[in-house]
Amino acid sequence: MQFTCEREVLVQAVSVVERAVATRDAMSILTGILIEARAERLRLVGTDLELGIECTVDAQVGSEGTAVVDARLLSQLIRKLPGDEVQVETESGSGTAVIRSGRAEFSLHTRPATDFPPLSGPEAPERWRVEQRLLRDMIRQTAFAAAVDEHRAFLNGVLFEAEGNALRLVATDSNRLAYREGVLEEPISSPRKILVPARAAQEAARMLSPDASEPAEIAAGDNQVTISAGNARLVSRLLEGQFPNYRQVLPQAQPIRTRIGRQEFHAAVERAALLSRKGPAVVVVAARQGLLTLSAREADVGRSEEAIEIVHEGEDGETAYQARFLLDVLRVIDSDEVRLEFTEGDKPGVIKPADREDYLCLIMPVRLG
Amino acid sequence: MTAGVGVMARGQARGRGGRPEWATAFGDRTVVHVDMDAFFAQVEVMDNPAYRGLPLIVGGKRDSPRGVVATCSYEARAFGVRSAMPIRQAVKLCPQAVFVQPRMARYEEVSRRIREVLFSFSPTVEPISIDEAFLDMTGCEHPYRDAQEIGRRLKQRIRKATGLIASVGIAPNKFVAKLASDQGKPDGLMVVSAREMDRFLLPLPITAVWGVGPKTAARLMRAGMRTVADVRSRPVESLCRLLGETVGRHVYELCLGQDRRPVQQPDNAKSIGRETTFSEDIADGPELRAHLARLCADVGARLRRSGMTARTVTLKIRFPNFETHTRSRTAAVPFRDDERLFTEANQLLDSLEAGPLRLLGVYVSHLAPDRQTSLFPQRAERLAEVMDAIRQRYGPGAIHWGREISSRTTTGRS
Repeated sequence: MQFTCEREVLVQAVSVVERAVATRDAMSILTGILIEARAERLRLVGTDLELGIECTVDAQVGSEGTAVVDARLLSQLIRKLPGDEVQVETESGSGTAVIRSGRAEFSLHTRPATDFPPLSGPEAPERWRVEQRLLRDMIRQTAFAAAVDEHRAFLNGVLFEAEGNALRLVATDSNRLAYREGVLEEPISSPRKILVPARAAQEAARMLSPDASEPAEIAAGDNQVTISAGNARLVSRLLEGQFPNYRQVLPQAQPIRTRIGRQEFHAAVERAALLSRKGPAVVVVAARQGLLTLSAREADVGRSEEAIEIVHEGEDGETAYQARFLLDVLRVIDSDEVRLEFTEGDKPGVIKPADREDYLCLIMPVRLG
Repeated sequence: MTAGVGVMARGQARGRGGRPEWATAFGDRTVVHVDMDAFFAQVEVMDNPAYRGLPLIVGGKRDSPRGVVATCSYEARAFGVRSAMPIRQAVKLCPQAVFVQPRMARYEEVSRRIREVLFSFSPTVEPISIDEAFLDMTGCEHPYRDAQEIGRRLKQRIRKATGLIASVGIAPNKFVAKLASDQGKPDGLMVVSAREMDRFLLPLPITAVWGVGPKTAARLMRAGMRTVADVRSRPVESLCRLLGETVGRHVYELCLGQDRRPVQQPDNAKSIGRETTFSEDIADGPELRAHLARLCADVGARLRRSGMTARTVTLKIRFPNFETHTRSRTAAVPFRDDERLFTEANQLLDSLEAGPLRLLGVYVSHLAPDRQTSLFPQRAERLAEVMDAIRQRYGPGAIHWGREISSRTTTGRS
């Protein structure tokens, strides 16, 4: 194999696929990146078997071939190479790849590509096409709410629900739930729900370019999903397990309704959370006469209270949430104003952008004891 | 040198970070390993002075069928008696020995007193078992002239508080400190500074290295490595090829006298737990599971009654020779139901590959108030709550898990 490639192009491709490379087992071939040179194209693959990412770029291919190179080393090396171009050469059977750039030359051990697991995507009856920026935002606004829970698989994933020309993403750790609606570029004929591991969804989001005109494509098979965008393709297994009927927990009208400046709210919660020492920080939120009062107390540390001006409708009332849950959702909303609507008691509160109806996050309260 | 000069020199020679000069020369850290010599036997002799000087075997009566030697006095060791040996064999080796049954409660009481002494030397104490502990003296060295003095004072104070003799090893890390206390036994005090480390380690057999069990040792011996010096004469890669990357590197680092593990205070967080000592050792898997299920049901109910959730499950087992082990697992998500508690504890029991046991215990820790409400309450949690409610109304025996029942019903005493 012999090829020459622009260094910047190679750096970008490696940084995309190395996210899927296994980091745990130092002996495994999965810590490597597969490089395949064919007909003026370079295909790079990283996988840990749960998740695989492939990226294809242009290159001048002198002779075709394949090699597996240690991912961490390759990534660090090409970032630091002196030249604008990188030339890579392997001799069949030699077990080394020579990498040249400027006047630098490195010879790295390789492994045979025949040992590298193939990255096969699922057979999918239909492809869902979504604008890349939209899909990226949808994932960013939902995946954070997923959990790590080996006993309840549905908490570890993001539900992708496609129907007609609607795509809905939902994730929950059972204490909170994030829901986002979006539109597909073209309507689909058969509705479908899949549960994508949260990590795979987050890696897919990193791969999407917000300014690309070409949409991303999602192809859902029986137990795998492929998400492709531009020159990159991600294949992940799907989670099994039943996602709960989330519609049942979406609250109807709430008696206490407020409209708050997002940044002001975020900063005030952050301040209140400073007091926490043991366990998760909890903030008591009270809506009274046009003011939202945030208070926190921690034994042996002290207490805090801060009021912010709000647009207040409906009743007065108070509740308490984990500060982290509030901060997480306030961070992913882009609007300047948010709505916080809640009921007293063990009922979910809702936070959503003030100017749109396609996103909401439910947060379950903390009992005050 | 007079004492006065010594004091002055100490005052002036305060190194950086508040450590005296001798301590910075000694090593990065000053780690102490304290090990009570033949602990159970020493306590018995102290409580019954008539036993002094006699071969004494703690573990069971002379004719006890299931007895195993827990500890024996040095006088008994001279006859070849060792811990974990069946009593029957010990009787053959040393028929004139005094045989006594262990009194764990008494040993624990003495152990607590020793621990108090250790805490008066350093705030960082890591008890490893009833008769062994690590202390980190780093930064607490200035009252002493050198490491020897720390050891001498520690031994004196333990002697004064309990009447018992300890062996002490002092080194810049845990691995070497433990080796040092082993080397000096009984009534030992051995100090190994960073500079003396090679001279101390190189002649030791590789079986002295932590993590080198009989299997690994055999593999190393076949490759011609019998001592630490043999290992050191090879490149680290050859060890990695032999033992795998992780183990190879770990063993090599220990052979270099490198061990970065901190002396760790056990989590002071409160725990809820229960243990049971069996009237007969139990080897049978299903029967152990049944006992485990009963313990978990009890601990789970108490956890919920206290209004808490837990994240860590600890399993405690004691073998017939009184060797006691604990293993823990910490979950990412807090739990409060019997189901998850039992699953975790059961996996721990599997991982220990336990043989016959005389004691089984289950503890939960990392407790937090259960105040976060849930959108999707778990079936297992609701089930546990319903079972709690039934027991509250109709009595504690009103409802059980099927897994709590074993084919042979044995009674445990708590």
